[in-house]
Amino acid sequence: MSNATQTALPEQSRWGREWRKIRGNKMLVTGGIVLLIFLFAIIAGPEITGYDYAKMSIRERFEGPSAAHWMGTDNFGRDTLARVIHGARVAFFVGALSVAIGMIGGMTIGAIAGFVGGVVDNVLMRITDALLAFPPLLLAIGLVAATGPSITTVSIIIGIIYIPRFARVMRGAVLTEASKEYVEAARAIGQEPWRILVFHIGPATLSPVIVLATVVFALAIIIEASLSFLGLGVPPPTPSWGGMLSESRAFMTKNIWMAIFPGLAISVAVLGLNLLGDGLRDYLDPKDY
Amino acid sequence: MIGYIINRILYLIPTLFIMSLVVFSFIALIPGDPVDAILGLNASEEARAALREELGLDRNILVQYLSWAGGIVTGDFGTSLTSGEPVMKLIMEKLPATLLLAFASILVSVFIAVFAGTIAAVNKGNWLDMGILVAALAGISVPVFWIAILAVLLFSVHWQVLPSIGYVSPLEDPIGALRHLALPAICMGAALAGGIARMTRSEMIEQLGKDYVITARAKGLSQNEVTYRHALRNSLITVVTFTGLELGTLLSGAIIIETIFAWPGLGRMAIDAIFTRDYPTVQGVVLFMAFFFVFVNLLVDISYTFLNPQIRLGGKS
Repeated sequence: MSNATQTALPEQSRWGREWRKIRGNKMLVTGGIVLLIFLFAIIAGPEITGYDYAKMSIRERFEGPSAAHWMGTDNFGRDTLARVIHGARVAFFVGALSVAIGMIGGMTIGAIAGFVGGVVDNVLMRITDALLAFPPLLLAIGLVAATGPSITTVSIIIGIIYIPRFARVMRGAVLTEASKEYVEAARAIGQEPWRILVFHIGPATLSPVIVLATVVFALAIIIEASLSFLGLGVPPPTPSWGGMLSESRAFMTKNIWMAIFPGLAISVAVLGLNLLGDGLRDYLDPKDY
Repeated sequence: MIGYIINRILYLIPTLFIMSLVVFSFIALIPGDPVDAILGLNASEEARAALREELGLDRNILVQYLSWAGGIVTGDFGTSLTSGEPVMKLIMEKLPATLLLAFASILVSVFIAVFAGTIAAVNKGNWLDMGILVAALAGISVPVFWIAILAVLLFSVHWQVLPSIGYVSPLEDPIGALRHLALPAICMGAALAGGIARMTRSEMIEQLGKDYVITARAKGLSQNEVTYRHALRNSLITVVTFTGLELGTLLSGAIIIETIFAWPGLGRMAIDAIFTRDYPTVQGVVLFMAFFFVFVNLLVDISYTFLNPQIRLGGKS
């Protein structure tokens, strides 16, 4: 009984300490709340508004915000809030898939480069540097021009573009960790190299990768919106934030709200992710332990 | 110092080679037959054969790459499928407009950012600093095309003080050119300013905490003299470097801004070429912009080395 109490106490206080650390981190909390609101909207779906995002109503065209349509309606009388929520689904799908591809590809390449070293490291890093030298949107535009626009291709392309960034960060983290004593100890007791990499070094490299993941998620949302704005992203009639902004340009004099809400959605989502990234950087900083 | 520069230039060769491979692969990535994608399925057999020969698609892929890359090395970026003119000639025609826009945007962003970043650093920790930090973070998060749409709504639609589209050559009508340049440059400058302001702030805070600042204060210099004549001057090296490295953001922004404001630069040329399926032009412009970005980065790197006495005199790279 007393043993149980003794083991439970430090556990509780550890969670309590973490919770206090999270609460004290304003950026982390604000970013987290913004993200939770978007996640709620994404899970609940456009139907939560009571409107179908594709349903047109010619009599309700170009309406401003009202009790019936919180964000007004567009040039076809479609509910803007329902379309913004569907746009959030598109943006977060692209963000999540791009981050997953970038992370898996980049972590693998970075880990191999950092752990193996030598010629392999040199070749992989030269390729990585060359790809990093491309402005991301420029490369995305070139690749989409070749493959054609679709939500999946756009996500894959953005993911591939960010593989080098993850690779760089992962390689740096692996190099730092590989020189530490616990890795030497693992080697000394005869553990296989892949086991050391995956089970010992791997978990220790997660902090910088997680921070980068939030930044890349935000960048992916901006690139998808930029591509859709240019007509190279998610093809209509699927609503995307960039596509909605592009459509709004023709009707600026009739209804400014069409241009306000999708832009606000992108900005708030990206700001939330940036805050979360900055907050996580502080939270995961080992200096605080 | 010279060894460092030669090293940096040699280091560029694999980068440029890999970049050329990526851009070359654009045509290889087209699903199905690129000739079908460009001409459509109803084109005559003669037209298809002619295009196949023009693009060199009837040859081995290695030969195709070598011939294309050989052209690039000699400044031949291929021939536009829509106008029939050399892509390099078209690039040179559009380059001045993009450079003008880029230069004006950098001026706007550095002006806003250095001003805001310095004020934030001097007022570190108080409400003014917090306000500027939040504004800078918001500036980084807001997409450039939304800033542009809002600016057009305000300045062109509502107040009707500035034109929303078009380009006037500064050689023909300087005032008209300035009026047309104002909105695109302000929008792109504002989009860049957030990052530069954050960099200025952190660099200024670091400089203001250094020993030479304490010495300057001890000598009896006023707060303004210490801030602007000493700390800001030393911070500018880092700020200028960072601004140079932001060229990638600037080029990406130029693609969007030029499309919105009908600005006849390289970005709009790339987008137009995509919609007309003029793949050689797409390849040419993307590669040119990427090379341009790499070379400016090299120049920034070298100038940083030159400006920083620690590296210059210490002989360290």
